Amino acid sequence: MKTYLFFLLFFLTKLLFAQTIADFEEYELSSDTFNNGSDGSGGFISGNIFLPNDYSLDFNAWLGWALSSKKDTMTPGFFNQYSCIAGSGNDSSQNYAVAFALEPATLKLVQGPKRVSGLYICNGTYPYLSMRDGDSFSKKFGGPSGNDPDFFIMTVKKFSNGLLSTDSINFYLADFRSDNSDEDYIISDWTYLDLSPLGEADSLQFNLFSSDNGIFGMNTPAYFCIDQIVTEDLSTSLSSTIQDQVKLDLFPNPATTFVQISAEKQLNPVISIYDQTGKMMQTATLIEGRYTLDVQDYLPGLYYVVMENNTKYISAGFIKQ
Amino acid sequence: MFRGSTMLLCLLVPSFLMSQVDTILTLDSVVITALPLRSLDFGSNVKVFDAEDLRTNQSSNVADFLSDKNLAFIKTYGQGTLATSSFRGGSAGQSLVLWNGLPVHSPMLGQLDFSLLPIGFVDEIRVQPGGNSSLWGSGAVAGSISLDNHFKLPPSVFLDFELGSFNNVSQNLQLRLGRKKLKSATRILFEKSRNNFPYRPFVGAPEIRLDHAKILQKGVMQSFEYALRKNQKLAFHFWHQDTDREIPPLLTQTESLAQQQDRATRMAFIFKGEKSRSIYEWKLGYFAEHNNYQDEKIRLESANLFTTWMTDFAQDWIMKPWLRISLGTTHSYTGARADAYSDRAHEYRGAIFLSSRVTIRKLLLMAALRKQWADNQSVPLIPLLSFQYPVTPQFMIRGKLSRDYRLPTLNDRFWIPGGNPALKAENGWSQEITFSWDKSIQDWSWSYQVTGYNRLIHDWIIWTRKDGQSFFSPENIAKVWSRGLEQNIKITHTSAEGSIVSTLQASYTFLKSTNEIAVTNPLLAKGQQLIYTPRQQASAGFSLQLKKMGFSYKHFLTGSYQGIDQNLSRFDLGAIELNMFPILFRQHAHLLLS
Repeated sequence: MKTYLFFLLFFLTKLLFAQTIADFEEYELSSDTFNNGSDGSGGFISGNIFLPNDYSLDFNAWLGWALSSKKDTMTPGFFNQYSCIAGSGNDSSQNYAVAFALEPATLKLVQGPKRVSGLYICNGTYPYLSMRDGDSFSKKFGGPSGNDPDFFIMTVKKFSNGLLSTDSINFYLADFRSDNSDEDYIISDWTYLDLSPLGEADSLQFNLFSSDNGIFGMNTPAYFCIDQIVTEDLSTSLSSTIQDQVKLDLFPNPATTFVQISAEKQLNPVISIYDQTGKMMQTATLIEGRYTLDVQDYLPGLYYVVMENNTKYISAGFIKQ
Repeated sequence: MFRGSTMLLCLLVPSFLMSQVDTILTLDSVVITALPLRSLDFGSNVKVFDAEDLRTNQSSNVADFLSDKNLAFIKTYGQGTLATSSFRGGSAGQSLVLWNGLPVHSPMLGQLDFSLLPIGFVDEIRVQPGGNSSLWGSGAVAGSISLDNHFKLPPSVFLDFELGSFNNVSQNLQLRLGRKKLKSATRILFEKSRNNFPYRPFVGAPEIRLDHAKILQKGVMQSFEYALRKNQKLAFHFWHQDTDREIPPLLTQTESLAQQQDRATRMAFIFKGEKSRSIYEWKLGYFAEHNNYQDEKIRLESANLFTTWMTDFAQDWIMKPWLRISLGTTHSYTGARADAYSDRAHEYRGAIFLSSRVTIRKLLLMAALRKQWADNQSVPLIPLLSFQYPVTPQFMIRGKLSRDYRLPTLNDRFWIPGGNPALKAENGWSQEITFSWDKSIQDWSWSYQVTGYNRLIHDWIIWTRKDGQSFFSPENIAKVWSRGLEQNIKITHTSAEGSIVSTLQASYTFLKSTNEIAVTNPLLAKGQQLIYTPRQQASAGFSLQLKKMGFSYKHFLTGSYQGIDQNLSRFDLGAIELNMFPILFRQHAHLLLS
């Protein structure tokens, strides 16, 4: 009887607090390459999370998140911006996500608010080598004497119901503040960051700060890598699949008054529009695969159109000018 | 730092070598009649340095020369590395550089690396401070520098051989031939330096040596002048220069593997004629530059090249003894390629300009007007008014009011990411006034000049990052107000028999160049002094010139200023120079300690 009750409780616990891990392995990246959103997808979905990407087709420039399988731990500089200093994803997995966080990087939770238990985090090769050796724009951490109290810190806050939390979780990607220089470090391995104290969230916001700043802002390269993001969910059946054959087209982009949304094939005629913080702006229904979205009242910024059913998601981003 | 050189001058036409002291000439109306009107900027304190001034100066390039004369603030990363100028708080692109009257700066960057301009390839440097856009066009906002070649020197062979610390070897040969119809001047330059000087990165740090800073420079310039008739001359100048540089690590770097190659070919064809009541000058220029930057460490290879064709025609008429009028037009076409351009960039620029000079007794007045076209860019009419009035034979007043502009560069317009084809020209008004006083009594002479100026530039171009954008792009978002005071005093004593000349010279500049519109990225507060713009600079020097020997000491002081990341402390620099002039041939021997 006790054994029966134990298995019943275990099953209920699994059902109530099932964990979903977003590890990006469902993306078929070739080895040692990256996806910086140049396909205009507007972001990446894995597990219960959506990582927005803002790619400028005019200038071939990106901001937000990219996916990577890069392995280069030796080459310094901007041209190695997609590599993780660990040389792979966590647990030697192939894929991981890279944030280019000149502005706060947002991790959006799909299918409603969820608690993020934690994630693995690591420095990119570019910031790691920049902090270790210095480069044309950034100082060597510690300075010439090795005694400068430098730091590179990430703060994580949550958005819930459109409000940004005042509480945050801090993580030092590099810390040279100790009087004992033997304690100085720059993160070079995947490190687990417990985010459960933040509680349920619509989205998480990652901010980077450094002791090395100038008139152009932070000099330390604004990159970090994450992998294996664990979310807690009531449902055990969630999994994400990107449907290559389904594509959302948005025109014009950037837009000022309206955006024409069209999809040749649909997962679901209902679409949701989110802002950068993860706040849902509205839902709409495609009619014959089309919908004209009025954005005149939207504030300037980046927005995401997400089409979803229980197990599958497709998204695209647009800019309101 | 030690540097020594020997110069050998074998004159085919004998002449006596006068003692050489850096000279500041005041243009006067008798001397300048043969010059085109637009070269006669008598509203400001123009400084002219002739071939002898340049030869007896120890500077190897124009950047060092301007620093030595305290004429501009030179921004440089160190010996042999990129050196750009800042006049009166202007940006590097707001200083116009003319080679034989043709703008020679890079149309891609809008500026010129002054460290790549060898002094040995120039016969005369003319520095015109303040705005001159009406006369010379885009970029002549804060100052103009004219680098000219001429055939005034007699047939001669000139060899400058220089040995210095840190494996510095420099050889400069000049061969001048011809005295009548056809004249030729050939110049050859070879310079190399390991440049591995010791330094301390901060106070108390152990001394280290600069690494990866070699420079190798080779150049040739061939000039011909042919007198078609008594008052018509054709001149042709060909200049090719190769420079290979290792880029040394910055203070933020532990090492550097970067290197840069610059290849420049410049040609100028000049036809000049004089009639009894007019002079005219037609110029055709061709400039091609190729720049290749590689950094093996970060796997960066960047190649840029441009070619520019340019033609310029101006004619002056002496309508009356008191009235002179000049009319001219200039056109250029540039094609450029860069790895960061999506396609080959093209740009056409054209302008017409009109100027006149009126003499009313002792008062000289000048008015000028320019209309510029540049693809689809809008440039307002650009006027200039200037005057010169000798109150007494010793006391002179000069002044100038001008509107000035700088067109966006090709990089501003076409660079990816960020290039902005919709940029407007930077433009604004400037005013300046100069009081000068010169007096000589027996063996003594004094001169003192003080200049006050004011300049407000609108639509100042800044590369900025907008919210939600991962790259910087240029915008006309800033307004910069520059004002300042420049003072210069010189006292000279010449012994009765003229064998000893003692000179005491000092200068002081105060400059406030402030941003008048707050910008968030880069972070520039309203009223903040521009970065890399010291408020105060001063210099003082003493020289003693004997018959066969000269000695001088100069001291330079630069006040603190803000850099990109931190404030930079004031610094000073002293230089001792010893010159000897042995009788054999006409040798100069220099010893410079700085």
